[in-house]
Amino acid sequence: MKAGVRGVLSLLACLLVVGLLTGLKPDTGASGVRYYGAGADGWARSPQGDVKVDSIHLTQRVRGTGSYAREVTTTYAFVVVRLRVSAHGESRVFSKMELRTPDGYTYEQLGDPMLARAGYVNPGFTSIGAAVFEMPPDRVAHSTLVVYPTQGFLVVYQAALRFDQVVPADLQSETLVVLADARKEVTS
Amino acid sequence: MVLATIVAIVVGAVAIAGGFARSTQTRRTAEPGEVFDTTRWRVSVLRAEYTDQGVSGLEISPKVRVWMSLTNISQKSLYTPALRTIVITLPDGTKSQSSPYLESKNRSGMFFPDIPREVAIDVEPDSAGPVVGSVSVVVHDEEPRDGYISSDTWDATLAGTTVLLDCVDVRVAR
Repeated sequence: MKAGVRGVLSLLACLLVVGLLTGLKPDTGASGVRYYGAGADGWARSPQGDVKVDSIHLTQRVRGTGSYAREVTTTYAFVVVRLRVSAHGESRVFSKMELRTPDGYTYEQLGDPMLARAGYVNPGFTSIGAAVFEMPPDRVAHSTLVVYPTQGFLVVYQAALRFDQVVPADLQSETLVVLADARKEVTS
Repeated sequence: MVLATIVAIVVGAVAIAGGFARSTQTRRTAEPGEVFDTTRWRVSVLRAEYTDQGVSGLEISPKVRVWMSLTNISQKSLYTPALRTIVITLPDGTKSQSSPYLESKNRSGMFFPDIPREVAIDVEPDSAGPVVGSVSVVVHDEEPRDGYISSDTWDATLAGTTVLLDCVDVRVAR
């Protein structure tokens, strides 16, 4: 067989393999992210890690309790999501969390590390903390929480944990929400 | 002869494609405190001061500080405007960095949609002595970069709004 023909056949074989791999990929939607929703027990489970929402609060004042903690205020609204996260297989960083409003806006959590962020967790452990979002009050209701398990600086977007319309419309505003430091427990 | 023909063809193609049309990107001016919009930001350039106090109150070497209000008017949380979107030029010609650090009194991190934040940008003059004259602040518009790897990258355009500010000397240790 001529070298040119062999080259063309090799190229076709490669294209066939790529086509098969693309066809066999799980459905991830247009964004390329595969979402995992919450089950009956409240946990959303993915191959990378699990997340459970414990409670949701609305306030304009948030205070941490650690040594360097400070009070943060807003004239808008803070949505505080208390949650727990656990990792599978290898350590994960749950630092990218966002609330998506029904009208298409995306709010990422505040970057202040003193606000009990659940953050880094090793496999076998569960980190219990909170995420704080600053939003206009009229966009809070029925927002969806999305949590991305990442590996350090490498953002692995193939999976995300999603809690559809997790923020109730009748959430009452609290004067102050105090956040204890994030803590870790052995996953039971 | 062949080279001249090729050049003529290229020039003609550029002309047909509209490459020699007058740029539609415009320069505007605004007054201090005036609110104007770019593609992703609502901006109001507030004031300039020559200061030796950091935003948190600590003593620093003298710098020109420009205060502005920035509101993210896009639908996604953003870390910062694109490179070279905000260009500050001092009277001695010193320019701000291509991606100046935006400092706030009570908040750090991202800009959230429709949540305004007052930010400060410090520029250290190249020349010694008090700053006399107007500080120029140009806020350029932005456009999405047509990238193949990431669709979420933005570039500053030539169009922009210029605000001239009188620089007030507020140094404590004069």
